[in-house]
Amino acid sequence: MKPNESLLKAHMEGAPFLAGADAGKWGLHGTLETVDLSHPVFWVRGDKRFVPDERVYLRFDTTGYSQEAPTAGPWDAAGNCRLPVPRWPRGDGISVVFNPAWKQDALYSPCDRMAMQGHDTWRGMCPQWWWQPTFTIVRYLEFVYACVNPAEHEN
Amino acid sequence: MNEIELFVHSTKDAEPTMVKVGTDASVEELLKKIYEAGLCDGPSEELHIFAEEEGEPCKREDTIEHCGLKHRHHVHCHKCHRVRVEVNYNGVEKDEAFPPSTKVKRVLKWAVDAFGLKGADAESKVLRLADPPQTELLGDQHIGSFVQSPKCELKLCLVPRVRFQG
Repeated sequence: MKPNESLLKAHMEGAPFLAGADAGKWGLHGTLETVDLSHPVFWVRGDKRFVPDERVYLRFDTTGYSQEAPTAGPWDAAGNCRLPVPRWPRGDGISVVFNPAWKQDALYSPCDRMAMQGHDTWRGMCPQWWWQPTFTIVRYLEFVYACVNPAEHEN
Repeated sequence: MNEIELFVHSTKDAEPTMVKVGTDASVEELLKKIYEAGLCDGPSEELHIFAEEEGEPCKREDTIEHCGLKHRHHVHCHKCHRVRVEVNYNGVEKDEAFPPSTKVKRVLKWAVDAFGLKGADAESKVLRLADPPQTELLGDQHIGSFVQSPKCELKLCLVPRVRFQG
């Protein structure tokens, strides 16, 4: 197992990841024993007003994790291919992060490796989301969860 | 004896830590375990254990089972019995007292109602620490995690969610 994969596995066995999984906020598509941990697929539960399927699947590239931020794009778990654009999450604020016109294999997010390039101003705007090597995959999943559940406190 | 796992929240970290404990152990024993793991600063007799979203702490002499704590439940270890939360929105302040085990999303719900926000105005808001680093609080975090005893108070700002553009 590569260093990025063993670290990701350890983080997925930690309390913060398990707490979110137990609460039904996110999960791994497949099992830890069988998935490619350099390209794992996670799902995140979303408000059905913005995520018609109520789950958005994301295929990650964890190269260099966690020294480097992960990057991830919406995924069709059944078809094992990129999610067709008409099925992408959309809504006020959400379509900025899920922006196929920008990239189809990354999210416009301060914890996404691709989006961080050229966006140093985000570091000061939102230090808690700007990826640091001490972060775990939970930070990325929390960002997506907050994005696709903007009214969680109203429920 | 059945052993269960509990998610323990404290002032040490906004994210929980897992602690294993027997269901017939007392709350006192759980407190000792948490204290010895370095998750809460003592002395342990000053610490309380709250079940998540519960208003009163568990009695020390009760067993884990008697407290109603089950596998993978969340608890909060804190010295404060109540946290006075002061929220600033557009220069107006409102405050309310909450147990430390209260989820941030419940405090956020109270805040948007207290300021009379509805619909999209209510949906687009988050709570941030008023003081640096002005961290955005997440819905499932516990309010007590951001309060360092002996101060049992917390100053927050109700602000629009940051939009990542440009």
